[in-house]
Amino acid sequence: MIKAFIMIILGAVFSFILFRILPGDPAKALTGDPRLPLETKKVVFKMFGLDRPLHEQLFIFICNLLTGNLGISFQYKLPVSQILMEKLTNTLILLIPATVLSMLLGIFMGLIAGLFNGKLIDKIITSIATLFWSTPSFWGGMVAITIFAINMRLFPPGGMLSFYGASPSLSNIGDLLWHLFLPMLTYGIIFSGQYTLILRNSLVEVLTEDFIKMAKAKGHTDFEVVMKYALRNASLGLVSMIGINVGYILLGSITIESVFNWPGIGRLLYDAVFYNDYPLLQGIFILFIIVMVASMLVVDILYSYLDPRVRIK
Amino acid sequence: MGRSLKNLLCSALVLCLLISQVGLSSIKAHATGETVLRYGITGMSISFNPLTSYSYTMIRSILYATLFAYNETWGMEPWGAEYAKQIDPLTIEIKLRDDWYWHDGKPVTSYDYKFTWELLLKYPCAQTRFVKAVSSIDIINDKVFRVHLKSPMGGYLPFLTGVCVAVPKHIWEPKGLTNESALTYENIPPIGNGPFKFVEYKPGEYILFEAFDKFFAGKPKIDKLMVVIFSSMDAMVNALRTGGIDVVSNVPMSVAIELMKDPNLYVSLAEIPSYRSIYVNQYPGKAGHPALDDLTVRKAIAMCIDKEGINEAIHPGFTVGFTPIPRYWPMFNPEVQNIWPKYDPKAAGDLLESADYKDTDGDGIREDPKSGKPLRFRYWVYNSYPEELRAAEFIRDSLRQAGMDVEIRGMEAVLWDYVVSKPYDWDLAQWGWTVHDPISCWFPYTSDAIPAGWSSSGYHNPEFDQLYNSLLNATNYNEFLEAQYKLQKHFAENLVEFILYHESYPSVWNVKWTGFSNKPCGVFWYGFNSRTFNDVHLVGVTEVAKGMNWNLVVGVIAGAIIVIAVIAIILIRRKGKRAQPTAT
Repeated sequence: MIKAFIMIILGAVFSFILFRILPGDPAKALTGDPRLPLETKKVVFKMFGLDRPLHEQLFIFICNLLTGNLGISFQYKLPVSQILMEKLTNTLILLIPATVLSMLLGIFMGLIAGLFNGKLIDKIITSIATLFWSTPSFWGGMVAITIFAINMRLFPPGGMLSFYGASPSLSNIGDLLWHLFLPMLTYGIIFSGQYTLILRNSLVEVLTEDFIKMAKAKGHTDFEVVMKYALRNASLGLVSMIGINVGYILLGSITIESVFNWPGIGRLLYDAVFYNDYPLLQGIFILFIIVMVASMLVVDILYSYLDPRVRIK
Repeated sequence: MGRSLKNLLCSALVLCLLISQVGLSSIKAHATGETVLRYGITGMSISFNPLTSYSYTMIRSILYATLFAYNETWGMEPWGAEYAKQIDPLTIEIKLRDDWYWHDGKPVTSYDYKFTWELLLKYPCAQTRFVKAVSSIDIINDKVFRVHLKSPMGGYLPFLTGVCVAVPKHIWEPKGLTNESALTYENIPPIGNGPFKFVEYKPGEYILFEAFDKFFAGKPKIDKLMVVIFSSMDAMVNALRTGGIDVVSNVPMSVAIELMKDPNLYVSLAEIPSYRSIYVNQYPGKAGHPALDDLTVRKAIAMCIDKEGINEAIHPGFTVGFTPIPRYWPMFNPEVQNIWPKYDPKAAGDLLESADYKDTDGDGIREDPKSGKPLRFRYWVYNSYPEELRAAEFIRDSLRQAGMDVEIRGMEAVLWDYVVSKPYDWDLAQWGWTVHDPISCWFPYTSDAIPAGWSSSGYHNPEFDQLYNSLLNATNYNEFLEAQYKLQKHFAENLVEFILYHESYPSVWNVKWTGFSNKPCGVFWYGFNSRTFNDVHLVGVTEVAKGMNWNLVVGVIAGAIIVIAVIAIILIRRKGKRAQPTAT
């Protein structure tokens, strides 16, 4: 936990320095005016503390960070934490079901492929999984929109709800699900490919182990052998990959959210980069670090649960 | 069929039914009879501060009205003002309409304009350039004020039209927004005086306005206007095609041509006085290529730009440009069409050869005899406009025929702004300007524009500065026109910038809507006047069309997933049972 905390602080400092050395003018975000005269710009910078020496700005930033204060967004003039919570919620609404779908689909396909190893069905599933995994998410999204939204008019091409102005709630959950379906499916299918291949390969290896033969000799059905013995052992690699992918998926949400116009963290990050919105950029960066660190911690814990040989002391 | 299988299937059907009932009629409809126009835009941050916001002047046009507005033939007509009359060459008297109100019900007064313009003059920002000619303002009464000008400008007053609006003094002053703090004031909720009132802003998602019933030109026919913000052009166009939004006005021509094939959409083209040009780095003490200071080299480059060809291939419908003044404006100088060098790369090569720009090392690129540097220029192009990258490639091919070359560098807007406006370490850069009026459009080419941060090419020429001053000091329209002609002639003869074209912006809307004010410049996101959406209404339909039956879709999909999973489980279990040895 201490290591995780140190990593977060180091990441925050790195983000602070990185965004300040990038080219661009925060005065544009502060005022909306990209051609502010120099005298006016100096006054504006003074109002927001940007005229202070960098080390002083960094000290203030770290002190605020330790109290949970991520500052005020230059663009939106709102607390960064408030903006992040709202957009993160929207991103999680998309990513959680998408991740669950990719896992279920990946496990299902990996299971079938592993069980029927060497047969035609295995080859078909492996090819499909490879195709899914190698498909860029933005391309997959655009194809899905073209086919299912524009040509077949089955689903909306983007957005979170039919009527802008509504917020997700129990009363419009059906509408939300309708909008969620295509991006979730796109994401889920693309990431399922990786899980299918990992699980299939692990399963093929595990099914040759002696304890599997023992289980069969005891009289267990194939279904029981797979579900009770083989899957748990084969899923170790899968669990590690899912943990690593959590952070990757969050970063990758930029493309999916842009293609599907989903109002989440990905789009927020893109806007913040464009306008040199330092506080927002730093907030998003820190969020990503926290998510990555947290997911690796969860993976470690889960790993020790799945594999008794590995225990956290 | 086995009992367990029957039970499983029944359960699946029940679950499917339940899921399909989730969110029955859950679309929160707007009030019965309420019409909402959804206008799509792409972009980033929105600013509601009318003094500083540079982009999205369309938002400003929705919220605020100007004193005058352009009519269909680019003449100026009273809008928020009842009249503007010249008392003497340096004094204009303006009377505001008696029925012009702020959205909080208070009347718009002379004090608002005095407050706003004095703030702009004291703390320079984006809107200051429209009131630069103002010396002082005297209040006659609540509705009448006199503007004293620094120069007469031939009666053409930029602060009457375009994007120059006032802020409500009775709101800003009590908040202490009388100094630099006014420049960073987020102004949410904004209190305007235009056809629509602000209702809600969700950053990155939408802005909601509702019709203002006390607007002097009449309450808009729609109840609400929603500006929907998209992160990408594709997402916006897809939403338009599937009915998610109703109108867009900033799509590239290539997209508009595709949309013309859709019978549910109407594409309207309108010329707008916004031009694209290639800036030529002429900043004093610059880090750019020294040969660009030579008019001969600039002439040779101009001879390699096939404007008609580029328009035909990439921008059908655009108007070839020569100077900031578009050809369809009354003060356009037709002589510039003959002054501008004709497209002829071979002749350009001959011109350079005769001026001693020779290819001394045999690599096909000529060298500058003074500096020895090859005539290879760095050419920055905005990434956001792929058609401009194509245009740059066209130009590069022609330049190579003349013994010159360019390194085309596409870059994001942030980097482009930084490189072009700060270290000046560039040679050619492609962007453009929007011409709000025929006076302020010349300012970026004056020497004063450089320290003010408004120069594009860093052009500094005393003769041009003098011509600009003569424009400002024109005492009547004839003098004004003469100054305009001379400025344009100077611009064309000296090839200050390579203006490529004036744009024609496609506006696209769903055919169920009508009444868009498409002239003079279309439903244009740079919004020249606040009458754009005033007469828009649905064609014979009084309700917003409902969406599709997502209940059925969700239910069918949920059911299908469950059925497939159940079948797979059954198959796996059956395989297991067959493999189990039977007792003997």
